[in-house]
Amino acid sequence: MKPPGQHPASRLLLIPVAAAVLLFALPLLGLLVRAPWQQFAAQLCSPPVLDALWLSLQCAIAAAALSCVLGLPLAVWLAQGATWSRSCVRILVTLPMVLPPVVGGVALLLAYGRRGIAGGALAGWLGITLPFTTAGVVLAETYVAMPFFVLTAEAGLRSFDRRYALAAATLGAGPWRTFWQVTVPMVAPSLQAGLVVACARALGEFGATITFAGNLAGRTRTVPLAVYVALETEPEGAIVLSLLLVVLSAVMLLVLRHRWWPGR
Amino acid sequence: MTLRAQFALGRGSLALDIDLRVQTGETVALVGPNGAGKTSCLQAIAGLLRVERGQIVLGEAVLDGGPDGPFVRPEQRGVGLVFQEHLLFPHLSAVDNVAFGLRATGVARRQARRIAAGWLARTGLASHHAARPAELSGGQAQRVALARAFAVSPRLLLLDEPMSAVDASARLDLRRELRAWLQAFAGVRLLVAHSAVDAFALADRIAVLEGGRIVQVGTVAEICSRPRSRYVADLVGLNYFRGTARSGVIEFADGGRLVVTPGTDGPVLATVHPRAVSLFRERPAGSPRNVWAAPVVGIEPALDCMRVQVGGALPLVAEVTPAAAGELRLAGGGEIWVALKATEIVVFPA
Repeated sequence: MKPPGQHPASRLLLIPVAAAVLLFALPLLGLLVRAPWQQFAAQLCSPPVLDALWLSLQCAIAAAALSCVLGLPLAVWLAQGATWSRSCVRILVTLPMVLPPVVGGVALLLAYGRRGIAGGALAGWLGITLPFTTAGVVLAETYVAMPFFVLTAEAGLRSFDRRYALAAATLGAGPWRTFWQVTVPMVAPSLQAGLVVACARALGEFGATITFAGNLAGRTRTVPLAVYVALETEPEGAIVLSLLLVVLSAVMLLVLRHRWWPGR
Repeated sequence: MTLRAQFALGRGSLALDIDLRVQTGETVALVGPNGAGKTSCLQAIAGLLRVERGQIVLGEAVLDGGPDGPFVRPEQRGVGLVFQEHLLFPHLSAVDNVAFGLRATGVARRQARRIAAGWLARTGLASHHAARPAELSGGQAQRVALARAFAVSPRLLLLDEPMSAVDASARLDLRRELRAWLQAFAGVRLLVAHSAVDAFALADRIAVLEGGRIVQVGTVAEICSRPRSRYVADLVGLNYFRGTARSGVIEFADGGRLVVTPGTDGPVLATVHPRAVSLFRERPAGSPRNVWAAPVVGIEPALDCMRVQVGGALPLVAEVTPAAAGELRLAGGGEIWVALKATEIVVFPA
C-alpha cells in the first residue's frame, strides 16, 4: 500500500523520467562509443590540442577573474537598492545571457573593433587592438560570462543579513573592514558559485569568440573553436576535444557541489 | 559620565520621542510593549539610526547632534551592543568573534587572540574557543556575544533583550551571570528587557516606553507601587484603574465607582493587588465597601494560585487558592460577587 499524500503512480512517473534521462545520456554515450580510443592519448597530446586547451584555460580563468573584479562592485551596487537606474543596468548586464552569442560578437566588433565606436579610440590613443587577439577572446568570454557572476553575487548580497554589518560597526569596524571581513566571507558561497559558473560558461564560449576574436591557431582558437575546425577536417579529433570539454565541465560541476562553507 | 539622550526620530508609523538620562554605574532597563520603539532607541544611541531632532550626548561628547549637528559614526562611538539574537559571525570561531573588535581597533592578531581568550575564559567557555557559532547552544552563543561586546572596553553598554533568544532552562544561569557582568562594567549600561523578571533582576532603574515615548522612569520599587500605565500594571501584575476621585469615591468614565480612603481628589490612578480582591458565590455581608456582581471571564493557573479574570464595568484580576477556586465553582463561569476593602486600594494622583 502506498502511504497517503505521496505522489501517485510513481511507476508511471518513471517512463517520462527515463525519456528525459535518455535525452541527456545518449549524446554523451555517442561521444564515448565513437571516440577513437586507440589514438586517444596521441590525439590529446598533439600540439594543436594542447595549444587550444592551454589557451582555453588561460582565457576562461582570466575572464572569470575579470568578471569578479568588475562584477563584484557592480553586484554590490545593484544589491544596495531597488531603483529605476539599477533595474536598467541589471537588464543591460543580463542581456548577454539570453542574447545569441554570435550577436554579442557582432555587437562587440561594432564597439571595440578596428572601426568600432570605441575601438578606434582604443587603438589610436592607447595602442590597444582587441579583435583577433587573445585579449579579444578574454573580452568576448567576459561579455558572455560576467552576467552569471553578477546575478549570483547580487542574489547572495541581497540575502545577506545587514544586522551582521551593524554588529561589526558597533565593534569598531569601518565600512571597508566590515565588507571584506564580514560581508564577503558570509556571501562567499554565492561568490564562489558565481565564479565557477562564469568560468564554465567562458570555457564553453564559441559564438562571440569566433565572431569577435576570429579563429587563429595558438592565439584565439580555444577548444570549442578547435572542435568546430576539427569537425570539418578530422571528425575523430572533434570527438576527443568534445570529451575533453565534457570532463572539464563535469569537474566544474563537482567544484560547485562542494562549495558549501565549512562549519555548516 | 552620563548618557543624555533627548531626541526624536520617525521609524515607519512610529514616532520616537525620547528623553532619557543614564548615569555611570547604574543599569537602566527600557521596558514596553512590542513596537514601542525600544530597539530603535538603542539603535539611535549606537549610531545605527540618525536622530531627526534633539541630540545624544555621552559625557562631553555629542554623539549625534541632529541633521545639522555632529555625528559620530557607530564604529567610533565606543558602544558595545548585544543583540537579541547573538549575531556572532558564522564564519569565525568563538575566539575570533571576540577578537574581531580588538582587531578592528588595531590590536595585533596574536595579542587580540590572547585577550579574547581571556574574555572567553571569564564566561566559562575557554574550552569552546575554536567552536563556530553554529556549534554553540543559545546560551553559550549569547555569552560569547557578551564577551565580544565587553572585549572592546566600550564606554556605553547597550543590551537588546539579551535573554529572549535563550531557552528557559539556560535563562536563569545567564541572568545571574549577566548581573555580575553588568556590575563589573564601569560605563553606562542600558538594557532593553523583554520580561519584568529580567528588568527587575538586572536594573537599578526602569524606564517605561510606550508608543515611542517614555511614560515613566523610576526605581523598581517606585514602578511596582505606582505604575502609571496599564502596561506597567500588567507587567508587575497589579489591577489598575484611572478615574476621578472626590471625597473618597473614584468615579470611572465607563460607569463604575470605588469607595477608597479619602485624601486625594481630582484625576487619580488606583491599584489593587490581585490578592486583595475577594470573590464570593453569594452576596457577602459585612464590612467591604465595594461589592458588586460581575461575570467570570477566564481562569488561569499561576505559580501557587489561580488568577481569575473578572469582567464588567471594572475589569480586574483576583488571585485565589486552587481550593477556593473549587469551592466557588469558578470553572462553570457565570456571575460572581466581588468585594474590595477601601483600605486595600492604593490611590495616587494621575
